[in-house]
Formats: sequence, C-alpha cells, structure tokens
Amino acid sequence: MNYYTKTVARLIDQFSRLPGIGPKTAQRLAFYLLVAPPEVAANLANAIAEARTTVRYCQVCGNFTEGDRCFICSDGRRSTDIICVVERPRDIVAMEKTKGFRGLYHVLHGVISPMEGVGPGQLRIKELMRRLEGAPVKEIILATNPSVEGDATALYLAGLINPLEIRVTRLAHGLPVGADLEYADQITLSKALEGRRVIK
Amino acid sequence: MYLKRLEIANLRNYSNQIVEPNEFFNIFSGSNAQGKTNLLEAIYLSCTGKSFRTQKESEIISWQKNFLYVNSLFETNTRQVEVKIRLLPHKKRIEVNGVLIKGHPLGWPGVVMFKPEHLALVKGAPLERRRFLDMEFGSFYPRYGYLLGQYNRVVIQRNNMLKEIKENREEVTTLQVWNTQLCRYGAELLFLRMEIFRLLSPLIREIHHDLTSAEEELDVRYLSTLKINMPASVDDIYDQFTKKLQEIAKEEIKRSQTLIGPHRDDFSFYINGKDAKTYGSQGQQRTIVLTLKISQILQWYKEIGEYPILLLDDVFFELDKNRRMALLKWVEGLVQTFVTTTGEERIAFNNNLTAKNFFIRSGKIADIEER
Ligand SMILES: Nc1ncnc2c1ncn2[C@@H]1O[C@H](COP(=O)(O)OP(=O)(O)OP(=O)(O)O)[C@@H](O)[C@H]1O
Ligand SMILES: [Mg+2]
Ligand SMILES: [Zn+2]
Repeated sequence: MNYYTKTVARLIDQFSRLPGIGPKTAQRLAFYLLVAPPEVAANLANAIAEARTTVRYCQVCGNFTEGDRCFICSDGRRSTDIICVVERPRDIVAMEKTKGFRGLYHVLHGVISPMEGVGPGQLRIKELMRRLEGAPVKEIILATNPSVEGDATALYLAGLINPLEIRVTRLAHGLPVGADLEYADQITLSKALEGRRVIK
Repeated sequence: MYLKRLEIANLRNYSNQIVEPNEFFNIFSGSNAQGKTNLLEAIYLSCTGKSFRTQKESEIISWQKNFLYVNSLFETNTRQVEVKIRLLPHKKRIEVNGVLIKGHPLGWPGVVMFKPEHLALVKGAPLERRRFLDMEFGSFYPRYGYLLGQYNRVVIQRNNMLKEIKENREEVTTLQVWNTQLCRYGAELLFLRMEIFRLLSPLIREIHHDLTSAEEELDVRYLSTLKINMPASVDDIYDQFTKKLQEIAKEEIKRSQTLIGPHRDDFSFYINGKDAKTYGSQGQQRTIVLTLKISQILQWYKEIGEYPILLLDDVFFELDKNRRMALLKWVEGLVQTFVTTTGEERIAFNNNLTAKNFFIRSGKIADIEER
C-alpha cells in the first residue's frame, strides 16, 4: 500500500481529514501543491497558520473574529434589541446573505443532543442569558436548524427566555426538513425569517 | 400493471435468461434450490430497485461475476415502462425509460410479496408487526415516513436523556423538550395508524370472511401502550400522551427507556373472537397474512388506480383448495400473479384465462407450458 513517500503520504492524510474531502481529492490537492510553484504551498501554509492563531470567538456573540468583538457586534448601525440565535458561525453567513436581518447574533456552538453527550451546559447558553440581563432586547429569534435536536434546543431556550418577557420567535417552517440553514437558499431563508412565529 | 418481459444476466444462479410471463398467472415449478425464488427476486428488484432477501445487494450478483443486469418491460394502464437495473459490487444504476433515477423505478412499490417468513407476522414479536405496518401500510401516507423518522430519532435522544438524568448529569427539567417532541410526532403517528386500522378493518374482515368460505370472522385490534382507543383528534392524543408521561416519569428514568408510545405498540388478530397468536393454526396464520396482502393490493388500487404485481413464494399451493379458489377470485383477470411450487400442481380457471408454467432447473427455464 506504500505508493507514496512518507511526507507525501502524510500530506494526503492531512487533507483527507478535512470535511468533504475524500482520498481521491486529497491526493489531487497534494499532487497539485507538489508541482505548483513553491510560493503556492508556502502561502497556503502561512494563511492556515495565521488564521488559526489570530481568529478566535467574539466575546459577545461567539462568532469568529480577530479582535475582541466581531464585525457585527462592533457595527453601531445594527439594532441591539433583536438577537438571532444560531448553531454555528457559518449560519451567520447564511443569514447575512439574506440581507433581511439587521440585528445581532448569538452562536450556541452546537445543539442539545443527549446521544452525543451535549446538554445545555455544553452550549453558550449561560452567555446568552447573561447578555439578556439588563440589555434592552425585545426579541430573540431562534434559528437553530429544523431538526429534532434544533427544535429541542429552541424549545429549551424558549422555556428560559419567555419568563423574561422577551418576545421569542422561531423561523417559520418551509425550510426543508433536516436541512441546514447553511444550504437553504436565500429566498427560502428570507421567507422563513419574515414568517417567524412566536413560541411559548 | 403487469410485467411483459424480463431479461436477466448474472443474477444468483442465472447467467442469461429471458422470461415472458403471462399477463395473469404464472407458476415457477422445480425442485429445491433450482432458482424459483431467485426469479421472484429479479421481479421484485425490477419493481422496487431492491431485494426482498438481503440488504447486501452484492450478494445477488452471481458468484464469479462482477455485475448483474435486469431489464424489464412493464405495461401499465397508461404507458409502457422500461426499467434497466445494473448492479456492481458497490454501485447501482437504475434507468427508467432512458432516464437515470433514484428511488422507486415505478414511482411506487408496484409489487406485493408474500414469503414464508411473513407467517411470523401473526405469532412473532411485536417488532415484526410494527415493521410490517410501518413499511407496508405506512407507505400509503406520504407523511408517515417523515413522522416515523422524526419520532424514532426523538426516542433515541430521549432515552439518552433519561440515562443522563438517572446518572445525575442533567436536570429533570431538560426532559421537557423531549417530551414535547415525543408527544407531537407520536400523536400524529398514532393518529395515522388508527386511521389505517379504521380504513382497513372492514376490508380485512370482508376478505377473510370470503377466503374462509364465511367460516371465520377476523378482527384486528390496535394495542396502544397509551391505552387510547378511539381518539377524537391528534390534540386529544397529544394531551393524553403528555399526561401519561408525567405519571411514569420516575419509572422511565429508573429504566432509562421511553416506555410508552407508538414504538412500543402492537396489534393482534382475533379469529371468531379468539386470539390467533395463541390459538391460530398454520393455515389460519397463512390465511390472515394473505388477507393482509390482498387488502394491500386493493388499497394500492384505490390510491393510484393500478394493481401491483403479486408474488407468492411457497404459499399458494400450501393453501387448501377452497382458499386457493377464493384467492383466485380476488386476483384473477386483475392482478398479475407469480407463484412457486416444488410439485406438479396445475390450476384451472373457471373462465378462459390461462396460466403459464415455467419449469426451472439449475438456473434455467427448462420448459414452458401454457394452458
Ligand atoms: N450469488 C449467487 N450466485 C450463484 N448462485 C447463487 C447465488 N445465490 C444463491 N445461489 C444459488 O441459487 C440457488 C437457490 O435458488 P432459489 O433460492 O431460487 O431456490 P428455489 O428454487 O426457490 O428453491 P426452494 O424450493 O428450496 O425454495 C442455490 O442453489 C444457491 O446456491
Ligand atoms: Mg425458494
Ligand atoms: Zn460578535
């Protein structure tokens, strides 16, 4: 099975650990880098290393950022009285593409899933509740994915937030079942946002 | 709908074979292990794109071969459908009238199969019956599969949650979100199941009555772990489900199991008021399953205006003469039927219909007789 030298094999192996990349693609990427001009590989390596060391989570919302606060949290033009709660930073990208939302976000970094040992304690829920203390928030949009786990998380949050007399809404159905926000097209997502419903 | 022509290559013990069935009744006869069931498997594969024998589809490919194909031509009420299936060890290609497709080649199962293993339906474990209900009757409702998928997922998550609570890693209050979803999907699922039973019981009664020359009254009863009998609505079930969960919460946590709901439900058959699980004879079990299969055929006809193909593997000539005749009355002239037998049986129709007999020997059709 040793078709490659050790270093080439290692490179292919590293690529194939990435999501969405199978052994064939990994091999293609590796071979490409080996024949491309040396700076292609160097630039890629630098970009990866730099991004990994400088990018961290926004202290407020949990989105990716290079400073303390992400570009959304530090944008003074955004309304601070409405917060959209999502599972992952990439869901923010999907929501932003709709251009229909001008409030702030909160990233949970996951959903409640007992079979994977993820309970409310492992998510950024405490941070969300702390954010709500004293802040003039009027509405929370629960935009977790329309899966069994996403729904459970939304129900859980609604139970915590409703007593605070903040309006709690959920994205309208119409999003394909089990689909990720990430893959929903912009029109569908805009409609889901417009048609959001209050949950008790 | 009927199968007009079937061409197979490298399927189990067949290397190359063309079958041109009769529109109404076909018999595959031959000794054991000659390839009768394999032919039924080929027909089933053409209709559904799947095997009824194995999940591991590469098993169907002949030993020493690395691909199989099955080409078939169906005649429906409205059109001809040509289905071409190619199977490689890790790849399947289904082409319908020249177009590649995923899923059911015909857009619906198109076939009802009765194999000896189905006899376990009457006396076997509840799981068998639930699976039968979900697969065979659930498919009449587009929403059924979705609800079942969501519900089962919730059950798994909820069982894990119960365990977390038992071991003090989570608080009891977190259970609430899983209860809500369990009841939501469960109520709708249970309502659909009861709807199925409501529609089917009179039909099942009538068919069974007929198959047994009016000697047996068959009742089928849904046994709900929620002890709900005839709910008024989905909301009604939801409320009762929610209440019952509260009552048994302690027990559920102790056992880390979701103890009630559609995933634990069952149904049973009663012949003249006696539970067939306890008292049914072999023949009675066979007749009950046959009744279910006929009801499925009629239900498909009602849904889509087309009769599916009926495959009976070692269950036709095992019926007594009266039941055989009664069965034929339901299907003759309407449902293309394939049966297998190791004997030399013939059948005679009352009218001018004919049956085609294929004599199978070592993966070949050795002789054909039509009369
Ligand atoms: N992948 C395969 N390749 C070649 N032959 C196979 C393969 N799978 C099964 N067989 C053979 O097919 C034969 C069984 O065929 P089949 O099950 O159709 O028998 P049958 O005629 O229905 O017999 P019975 O009356 O016992 O039910 C066996 O001889 C078996 O060895
Ligand atoms: Mg057989
Ligand atoms: Zn931020």
